[in-house]
Amino acid sequence: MQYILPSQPASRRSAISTVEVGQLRQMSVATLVERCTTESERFYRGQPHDPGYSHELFRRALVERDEQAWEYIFRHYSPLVESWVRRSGAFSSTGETGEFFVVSAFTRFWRAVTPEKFGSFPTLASLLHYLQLCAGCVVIDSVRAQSWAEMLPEETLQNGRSPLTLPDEEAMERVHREEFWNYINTQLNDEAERVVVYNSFVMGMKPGDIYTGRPDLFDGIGEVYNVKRNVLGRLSRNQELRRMLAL
Amino acid sequence: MGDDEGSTDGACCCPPELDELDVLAAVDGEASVAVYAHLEQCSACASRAQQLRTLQGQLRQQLFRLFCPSSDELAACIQADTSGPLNAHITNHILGCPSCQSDLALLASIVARPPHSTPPPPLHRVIAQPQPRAPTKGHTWSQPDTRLYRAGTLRISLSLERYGNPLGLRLRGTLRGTRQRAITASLISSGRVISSTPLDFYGSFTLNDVPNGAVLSLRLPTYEIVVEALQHLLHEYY
Ligand SMILES: [Zn+2]
Ligand SMILES: [Zn+2]
Repeated sequence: MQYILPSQPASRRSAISTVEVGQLRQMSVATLVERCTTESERFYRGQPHDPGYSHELFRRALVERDEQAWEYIFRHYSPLVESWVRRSGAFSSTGETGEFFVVSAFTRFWRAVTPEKFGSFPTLASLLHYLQLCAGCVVIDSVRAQSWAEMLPEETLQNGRSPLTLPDEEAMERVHREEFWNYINTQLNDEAERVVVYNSFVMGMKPGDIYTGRPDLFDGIGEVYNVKRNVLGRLSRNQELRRMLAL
Repeated sequence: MGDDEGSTDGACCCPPELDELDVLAAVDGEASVAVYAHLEQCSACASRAQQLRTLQGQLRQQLFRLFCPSSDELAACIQADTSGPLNAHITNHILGCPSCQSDLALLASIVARPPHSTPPPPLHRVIAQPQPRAPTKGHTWSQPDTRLYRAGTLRISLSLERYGNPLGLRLRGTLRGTRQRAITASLISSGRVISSTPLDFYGSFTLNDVPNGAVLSLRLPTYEIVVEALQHLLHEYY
């Protein structure tokens, strides 16, 4: 992911706080938590507030890996993260709990904002914006997992891949799938076959929609069906492909 | 496809058997009513449909959304909007992929409102009423007496005590009658928050350095309970 770069050079004073950076760094986590709670309360009541204490708590949690600071941030910002997820519209259809999304979003955020990358987030607003993106990503992954499940017949899902795999496995699997696609490509004779196979299996489209998208290439839906039947017949007789699918 | 002659579903029960295009249309959900009716009755033709469904499922399993950017890459597009050039390869893919367009729209809708820029609308205010208390022997510094307040069905008990050196005033309180979590207790003086603390699991809280003239506010998700009478209580100490 790319990160927003600091828009101004680091100064003695915190970019967002009226408190000196040195002073913030010396505060105990307990004091910071107390100040954060008060500043946050001012925010909720529309009063002038200082986000510097919260930013420092994020720094303690993400750079110094302070568990107490992380615990406060998780507890304090969980309702906010849940509100972002709930208002997304996709929430109710995913069948997941709000808690699932909150935990996943924070986990993603924790992994992405390493001590080295923290400098790219000079304000509380930039940190929260990134947390918001992480919440969005976990919603998208969940929606994708669901559309995946709807797209595949049950028997292929059971012994097939789970949409939620580890990043390393995911990369390996992607390589394997790309090799598979390259092989399929060698079995196709022309542009019409490539369009039908790509749209049917990569994009998950039905013949009717494929024709609507490419009326220049096909005379009618019937021709899309003919092409699809020919390709599927050829692929189903292909021993090498059967071997690859059995893996 | 299908070399299962001799099995129970080897022959079509009601010839002519469905041709390959009809079976394919049925699997893709675009066949006529007559074709589905035939498949209901005929295990031979239904078996051919099942083989085709399985092959298509296997192909989709390998290929479905193979070239779609990850959610992280979509998020980077949104970040890039504000901080740098867009990845042309990903942008081109999105232009031709309705699924990614809808993913991106979903992501954009989540980040559309700045995360923490505008405070929520003003809270509905409920004033807690003091409740009569049982006669006491008079308070001492070591055993502060407790005052009771009520706001609807919620009950609040408060006690003040002196502490520390130099002497400060500490407010201890408990809110009962709600299962709500995420409640914050704040001392307010001249309309400004002086200090705040979250209520613990048992609904209890402690606020130190209570200034003269302060009122207590307990903020719940949709309203606040204000104990104005704390001012009168404080007069006894200041
Ligand atoms: Zn039949
Ligand atoms: Zn896509």
